[in-house]
Amino acid sequence: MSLSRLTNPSDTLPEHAAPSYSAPAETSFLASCSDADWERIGRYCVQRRFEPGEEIVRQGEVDRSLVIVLSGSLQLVIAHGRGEESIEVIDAPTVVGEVSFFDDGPRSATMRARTAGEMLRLSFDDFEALSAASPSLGRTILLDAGKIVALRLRRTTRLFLERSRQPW
Amino acid sequence: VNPFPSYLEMKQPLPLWVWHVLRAGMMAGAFALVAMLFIRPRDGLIAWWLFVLPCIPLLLMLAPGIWRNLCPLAALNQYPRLFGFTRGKTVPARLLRSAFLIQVTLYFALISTRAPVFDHNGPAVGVLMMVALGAAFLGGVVFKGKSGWCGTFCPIMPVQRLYGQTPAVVVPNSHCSTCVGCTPNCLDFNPRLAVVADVQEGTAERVGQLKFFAGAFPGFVVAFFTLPNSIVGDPANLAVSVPRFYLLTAAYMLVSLGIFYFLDTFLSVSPLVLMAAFGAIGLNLHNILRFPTSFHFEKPAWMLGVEYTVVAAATAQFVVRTYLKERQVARLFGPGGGDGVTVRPGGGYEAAGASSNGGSHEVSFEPDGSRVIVCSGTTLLDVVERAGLPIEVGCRMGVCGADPVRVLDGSEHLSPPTPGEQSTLARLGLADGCRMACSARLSGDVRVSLDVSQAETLRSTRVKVEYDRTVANVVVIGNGIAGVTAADHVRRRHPECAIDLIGEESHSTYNRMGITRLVYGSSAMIGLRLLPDDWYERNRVTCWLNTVVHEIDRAARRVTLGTGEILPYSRLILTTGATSYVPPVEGMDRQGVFMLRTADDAIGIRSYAQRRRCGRAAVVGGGLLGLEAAFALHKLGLRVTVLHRSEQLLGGQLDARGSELLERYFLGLGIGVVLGATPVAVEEEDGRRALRLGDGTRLDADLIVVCTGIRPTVDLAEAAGLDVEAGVLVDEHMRSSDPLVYAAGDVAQFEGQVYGLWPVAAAQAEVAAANAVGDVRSYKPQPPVTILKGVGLPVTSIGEINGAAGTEHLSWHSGDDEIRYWKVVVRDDRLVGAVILGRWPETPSVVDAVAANADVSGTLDALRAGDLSALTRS
Repeated sequence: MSLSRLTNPSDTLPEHAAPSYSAPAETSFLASCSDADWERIGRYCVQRRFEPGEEIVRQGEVDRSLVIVLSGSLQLVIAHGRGEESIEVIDAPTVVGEVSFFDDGPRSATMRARTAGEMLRLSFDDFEALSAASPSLGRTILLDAGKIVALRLRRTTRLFLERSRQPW
Repeated sequence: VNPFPSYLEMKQPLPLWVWHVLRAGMMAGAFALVAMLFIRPRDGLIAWWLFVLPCIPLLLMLAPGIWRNLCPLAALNQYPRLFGFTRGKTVPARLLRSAFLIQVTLYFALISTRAPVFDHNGPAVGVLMMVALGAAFLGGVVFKGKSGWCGTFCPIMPVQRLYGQTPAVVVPNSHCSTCVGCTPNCLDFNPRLAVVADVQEGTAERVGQLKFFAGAFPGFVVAFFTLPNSIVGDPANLAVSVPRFYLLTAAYMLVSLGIFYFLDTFLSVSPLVLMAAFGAIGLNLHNILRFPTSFHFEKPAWMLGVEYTVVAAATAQFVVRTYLKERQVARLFGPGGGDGVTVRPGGGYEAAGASSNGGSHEVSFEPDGSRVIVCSGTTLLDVVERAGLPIEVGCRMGVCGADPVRVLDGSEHLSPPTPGEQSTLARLGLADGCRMACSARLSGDVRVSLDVSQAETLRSTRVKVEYDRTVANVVVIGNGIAGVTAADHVRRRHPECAIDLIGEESHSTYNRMGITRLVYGSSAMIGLRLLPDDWYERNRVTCWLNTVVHEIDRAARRVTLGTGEILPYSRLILTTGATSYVPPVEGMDRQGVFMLRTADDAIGIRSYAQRRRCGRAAVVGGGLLGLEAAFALHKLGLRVTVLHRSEQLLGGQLDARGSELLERYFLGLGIGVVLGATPVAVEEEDGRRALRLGDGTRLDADLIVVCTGIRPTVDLAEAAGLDVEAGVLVDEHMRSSDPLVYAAGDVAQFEGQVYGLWPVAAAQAEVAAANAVGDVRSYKPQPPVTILKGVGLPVTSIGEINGAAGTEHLSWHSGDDEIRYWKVVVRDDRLVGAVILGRWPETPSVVDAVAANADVSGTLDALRAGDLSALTRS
């Protein structure tokens, strides 16, 4: 939530502060999947437990996998120059790591566990195997992961606008 | 309840009319002060400099709302609005953006003119006040809301934003009956959040302005009070020239600003708190450093003491509360609680968890401590692979020795090692506590390390048998798994004889089953070598790498090497292996056509594909190796087509259903499959290479990999006059037609079969070695297991799969949703064969059951009903 909404009367907020498009504010990953689908996905994933402080995703690391966080809470941090900056807290259930999953580049941020929790890791190779063995499920995963990328990109765009076009 | 309400949501402590009366009183006071400054300047200056002014900062800090409601300038500014004659214009954006600069400039300019002018000149102060009152009024006439003065031009505004951001007492704005949004993040709208919003969400320019003022402020105060330039009330006492005074003031401000940015950079304090702290320091300095006056009027010491203490306490609570407030803001409005991405809640994904797939055990990996949850029966290798941890993969049967792990805890929760695995561990010199990951199946929690370099090493692998002491030298030709196993087992039984191991390749024994990784991976030979570097030395084996054997002279019992050396032998073991079969296709000698048998072949394919930027590849041969090669090229990024001669992929190892599903899987990966294809020529036109098939079609391919089977390397044996058919003929003791010469592995033909499989090669080599040194062992063929590895879809085949008469075939298939299939073949209630496609934790148990010819009469019904796990339980 933006603080500017609390420090200015709502009808005087600059136009960009409220999105003019009616983009979905949230997306539910694999909401259409049945238990049988999830069981199938489970065969291609590895289930991991993590402890507070553990790094689920490490910035700069090359690890082409999608992480489905089943329980727990993560802190997103970005390391730069002399230290690191805490960006936000992301709570389960959620999906992280989608950027590297798609572009095979190094991880762009670190996800550090704030609490204990569990996750499923789907490597790209396993995803390929899954989608070759189960094309329709593979397609669903791909589209839903794409929606996550789109949602987060829209968020980034909005943040960028909010920060760059304030009147002062 | 919102802890940060706007003034519109707050309750007014006083009726509005009281505020109006108070404001009128303040107005009157202001005009009275102005009048006094003209009429009785001395008293006016004392009242202003010594009493009114020192109170204002404290008020701004503790209850800025009171000041903002009572300030006579604000009152005058609001009268046009109150009485309805304001023009209500919007301040131009450009001016609004410069508001801070205007405020700061006015502030510093006016305050620093105190010494030269205002300190001792009553009427000047009076004029200044009149101008300010007038300007505030004029601003109110022209601009809407409070933007005509308070939000835009008021020189005290930066001070208010600095001190007034965390009021001890919040008094809501009583000027604006509605908010017209004249000033962004106005202090009147949401007093406690305005500055936080400025700092956290403002532009870099805005944050820079606030930091600049806060940083420079203490320096300005010190300069102002310590430069020896003024005695309040005495115009004669200007010890420093005016230009010099301004220069020095600027210098003081720069020092202060430097300290601020230094701390901001190197302390991990939030900018907001640092700014508050600087504001607090400035206020205390302002309070402590005072000018001497010429009024012969001094405040008594007790009064000063009280003032110092009150201000210090007030500022301390201000800094602490600012810090606490920022934390509260972060907690309440800070990012967190998800960003809109959720996984279907309630059920759903739990089905993906291991616990729903039958029992969950935890495997933890040292040193990083990552913990994986898996179900019973999973092999450690599967766990490691799926966790994305680095491990080499070989035969998956415990024979090749590619994947040793060290078990730190819970070894009782792993299936016991088979003799084959124990033999491999012994070859690697690893003592108890280590396992081959592919052969260790889980039944409970374990803790493992992938680093075996710290493991205890085996002191002795001696096998105590009556060995033949007349055997003085054993020569082993071939440095593959059969050759190394043979040398190893000779040494275990015979501690004295000389052992020579001669290999044509330039690498020490490596994991030949892992060579497709050399095609798509960039780690080359790292991890592919199967023996510790000191293995040859430790076992006293003379190793000849990159060396060709020229001739075997059976009569003289000696071997001539290509280098001219002659090695005598008491026993000779042939493990020369096999080479790729080159099909009779025209143009096989063209560039870009590769066989795939050795590590160097694979390395050559990768480097060729990169150098020529190959885009399309064809793989000739749809057997195990062909399919693995196709997958490797696919992973390298090429478009791949597999050409297979027969109508069924893996025809020998799969039934029709399994082959069809496997084909569908490859098509799903984007790898083309052409069945019934007979390549007749590799053609090249205008630098474009293509493969011409028997039916006339042409297939473009920049790179062609041929995997059409193997031919045992029998030239040496043939030249030496041994009995040879497809391979060197051997009996159950692996002895050739010459009783001093043995053969094992891909070069040996036993009961009409050349198996071409690693586990078989290792088993045969052990038998050959044992018999060569006087032990008596026989080779008993096991039902061969073939495993298609590393293509994402595990395919396992064992025993009779296209079973003859008298067999019952039980199978299960998941339908069109997924490629997942199994079939078991039963004869007389005993398991004789199985085919498994897809990820089944039951696979190793099924393989064991087929190998043991298990009686499955008790589980037939469950199997018929499609429950493969029944075999694990029995």
